Amino acid sequence: MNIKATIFSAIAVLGTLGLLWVGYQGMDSREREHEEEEETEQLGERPEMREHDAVRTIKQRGDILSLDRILQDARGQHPGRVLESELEQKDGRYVYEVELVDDQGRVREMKFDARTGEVLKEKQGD
Amino acid sequence: MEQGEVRVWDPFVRIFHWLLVLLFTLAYFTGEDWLSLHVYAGYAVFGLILMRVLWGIVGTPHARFTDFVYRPSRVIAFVKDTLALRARRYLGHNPAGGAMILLMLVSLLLVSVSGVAVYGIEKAAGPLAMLGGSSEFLEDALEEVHEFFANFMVLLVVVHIAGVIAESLIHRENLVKAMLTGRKRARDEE
Repeated sequence: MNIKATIFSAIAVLGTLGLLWVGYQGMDSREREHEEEEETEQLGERPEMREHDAVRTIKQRGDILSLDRILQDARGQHPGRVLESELEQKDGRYVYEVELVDDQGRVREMKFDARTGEVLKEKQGD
Repeated sequence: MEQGEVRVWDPFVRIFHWLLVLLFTLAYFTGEDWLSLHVYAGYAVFGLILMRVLWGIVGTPHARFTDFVYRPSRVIAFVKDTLALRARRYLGHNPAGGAMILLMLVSLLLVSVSGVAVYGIEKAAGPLAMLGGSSEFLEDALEEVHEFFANFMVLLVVVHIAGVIAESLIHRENLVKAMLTGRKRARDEE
């Protein structure tokens, strides 16, 4: 068998497996939970608290607006059906991301400052 | 090896092909929902593309660019012949298949590079982390490029599969099997 092809194949397979392993282990989706945990620890709460509890706690502290309020705003600007909403922490501030389909059937993605309710970004999908 | 068969696709060409199928599918469906896996699948795609380009220069005969890059006029003529069900058989990539490889390589390069850039700007992470938060406008533009070419790839995949089915039927051979075993029937009505 062609020795060059064997070497290339081995690098391709091992490289791919290695990268996928790192990606699978990756902390990206879990990182956020850690951030929430840090947040809750600061509040003197149990670290094992679930994400939505953390959100509630942050909300109770009066730092961020409720999701209902944000969704109301979003629907006010673009009447339609909400597909997905989440609270994210970006550069130390909380951001609500709302994805909705408006009455014309267009997908819109909106980002709100969770504290002020200000629209940070709006994007129209297809 | 069955009688009358020849080796056409070397192991790297085949492994590259099927790893790419796996990685693109994985990256396409993980997206932002599982970002770390998405990003690393993307890195792997980028690495594979670079290796394939290198292989297109130093690889086995049918893996080389010189073997499957044809003038656009020949690609168009070949597509017309295929639609008329009288395309001639090529042992390596036919002109349309060769053009498809180039289109896919370029699209995947654009998808992966724009992806790394968006990741750098939005999350200040990855090889382009220094771009972190640099420009909202640039981020949006690159995100559009990323999504457009990812979806364009899906279109290319559909056309590619249609082409493989068409050529398989016209020449009564299983091209999917050939991409698995590397072997094809040697002689034909060429």
